Amino acid sequence: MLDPIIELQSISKTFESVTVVNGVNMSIRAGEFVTLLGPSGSGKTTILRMIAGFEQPTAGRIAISGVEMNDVPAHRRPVNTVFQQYALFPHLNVFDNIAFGLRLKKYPRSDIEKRVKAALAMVRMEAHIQAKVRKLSGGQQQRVAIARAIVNEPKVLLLDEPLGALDMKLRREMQLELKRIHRDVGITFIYVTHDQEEAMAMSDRVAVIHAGHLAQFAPPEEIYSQPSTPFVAGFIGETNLIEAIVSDADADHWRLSTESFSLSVRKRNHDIVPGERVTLSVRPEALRVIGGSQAQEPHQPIVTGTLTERVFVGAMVKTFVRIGPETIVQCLETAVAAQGRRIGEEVALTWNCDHMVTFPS
Amino acid sequence: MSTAELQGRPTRSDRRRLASTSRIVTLASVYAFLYIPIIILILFSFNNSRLNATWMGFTTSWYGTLPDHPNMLNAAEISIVVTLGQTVISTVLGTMGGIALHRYRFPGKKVFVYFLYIPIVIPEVVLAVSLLLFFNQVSFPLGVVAMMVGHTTFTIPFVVLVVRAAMSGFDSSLEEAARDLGATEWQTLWKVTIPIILPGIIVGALLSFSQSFDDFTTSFFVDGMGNDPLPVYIYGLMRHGVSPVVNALAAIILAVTLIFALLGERIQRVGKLARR
Ligand SMILES: Nc1ncnc2c1ncn2[C@@H]1O[C@H](COP(=O)(O)OP(=O)(O)O)[C@@H](O)[C@H]1O
Ligand SMILES: [Mg+2]
Repeated sequence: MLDPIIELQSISKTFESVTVVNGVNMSIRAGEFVTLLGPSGSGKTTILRMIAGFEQPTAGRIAISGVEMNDVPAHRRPVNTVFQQYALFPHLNVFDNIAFGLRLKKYPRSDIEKRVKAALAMVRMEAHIQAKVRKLSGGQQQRVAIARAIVNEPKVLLLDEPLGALDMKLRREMQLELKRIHRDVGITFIYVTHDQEEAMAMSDRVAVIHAGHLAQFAPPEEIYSQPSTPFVAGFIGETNLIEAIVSDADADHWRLSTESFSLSVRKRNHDIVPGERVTLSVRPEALRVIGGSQAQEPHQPIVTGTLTERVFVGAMVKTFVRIGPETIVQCLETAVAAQGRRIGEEVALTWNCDHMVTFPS
Repeated sequence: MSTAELQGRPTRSDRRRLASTSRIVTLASVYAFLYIPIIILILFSFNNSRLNATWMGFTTSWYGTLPDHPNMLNAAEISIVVTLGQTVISTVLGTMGGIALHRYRFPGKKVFVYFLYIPIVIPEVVLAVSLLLFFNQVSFPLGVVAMMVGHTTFTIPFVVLVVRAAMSGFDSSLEEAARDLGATEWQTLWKVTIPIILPGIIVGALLSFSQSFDDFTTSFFVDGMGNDPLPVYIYGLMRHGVSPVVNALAAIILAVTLIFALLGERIQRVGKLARR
């Protein structure tokens, strides 16, 4: 495996006795597109600002290419940032904005011009080289902000919700653009967003941040199929969380009981013992609804309940089934499969336990 | 108040017309009270008579004779040197102070800001006397430099307050962007912060200039011997009676002060529009 380009070793940040980042460990490989994903206020921006050098970690160590960065001021770190509100210099035109970093590094004039033009070509803004930044649209300003950062050839590009201010259509477009730019320049991207769809669509790996902790750091598919905590399961896509208790265990199975059903699952996590409470997570699309008389497949749990609501979402139908006094689960079916079901009907639910995740409570 | 309101929009009811008429009368008398003395002063600077009593026809000869008056050019020169010098000092210090006040939080900051207003609101004669006593105590020679220092004490607050206001509209993420791109703190100040708040700094400098150029009280106390700036020089002329020369000179001071103050106001407005 390649050496990590960025290493965060149990970094924490405390503002006036409130700990907003708590013991985060991450190791990011060169060229990766990594996304910090979490709800607003979870500490994503603070982590990014510590990497950029705008905040000092209260504890822990930050290294870039193996060099410790804790005592290196922001202006000498080999990273550049694309700010959420772009932060373009209003007194400079597009060319001078992009040339800002190169001029500070005393590049020769002809070299500066060549590099600025190349960066503008990269973001497809060649036509606006002399434009005033105020005259540009939000999407164009965004592109200039990206060009201003990548022209310096940083080892790592930090992007803090760069698409947050754009409308949905432009957002989609810029997501693809950013993926292309990432491929073309080949530098490491650390991208912050609270939009899980965006994170899943763009990233090589997603770091889910929850209340200052790193909840999970894994490729999107793994985050989706093997979430590490109920929070991750609920934050990435939709899921049904069901409380259960371990009623029994043998060599390789647990018997789990809920208020309405019990089932047997293959052991994964060996530190769960009988008597312990657990939470089950089953994705709506993993659930199958069986109307009255259909045969149940072997080795699959089954629970019966009452259909309480049906909602069309595109070509799919979301079916809500009450399986216990306290528990309503939602299932996602194709409109074809859901045809003919009525509210109030008795139905059975089945699912493949390989698609269910068990968390200790 | 809009011109439409001043002209009194045509209304159907007489009562409303009456109300708007009385509003115009009120306004007119306030402005008359403020400006008639000044208008008369300017008018009589063009009066073809030694006396400020009756209008004897138009002439610009009083302005023409100004340079012939003993020490007049000297006074003008001193005024300009003192004003420019103190403008530089108060602008540099005031800009630093305004940026610092915006940027840093420290205990007692509120009190510190209140203290900035004190030189503006206390009677200037108190300030002037205290300056005179201070200069005597530390054996600082009275004269041009003493006047610069003295004027700076009451012009700095204007610069600080205007620059601080300019900073409050300044997006500090621009400074982070500059640091991110490799600028040191000093380079960030010169290449980003100051260029962007420059309209505010210029407004502060112009205010400082106009406050200093027409100052009488402080100059009178600390100018020492033979260093009278224009306002003090006028006072000297008055001992020989008010001649139209005084009118002409006063009109010039008024014009210079006004031009700088209006220029400042104009820049501030353009700056605000541009920021939108
Ligand atoms: N400079 C600061 N001083 C005090 N609290 C801060 C500061 N910066 C951020 N915080 C707090 O830290 C928490 C995390 O903020 P942030 O990292 O911006 O979250 P996110 O980017 O995930 O929305 C928030 O509760 C925020 O109020
Ligand atoms: Mg944030």
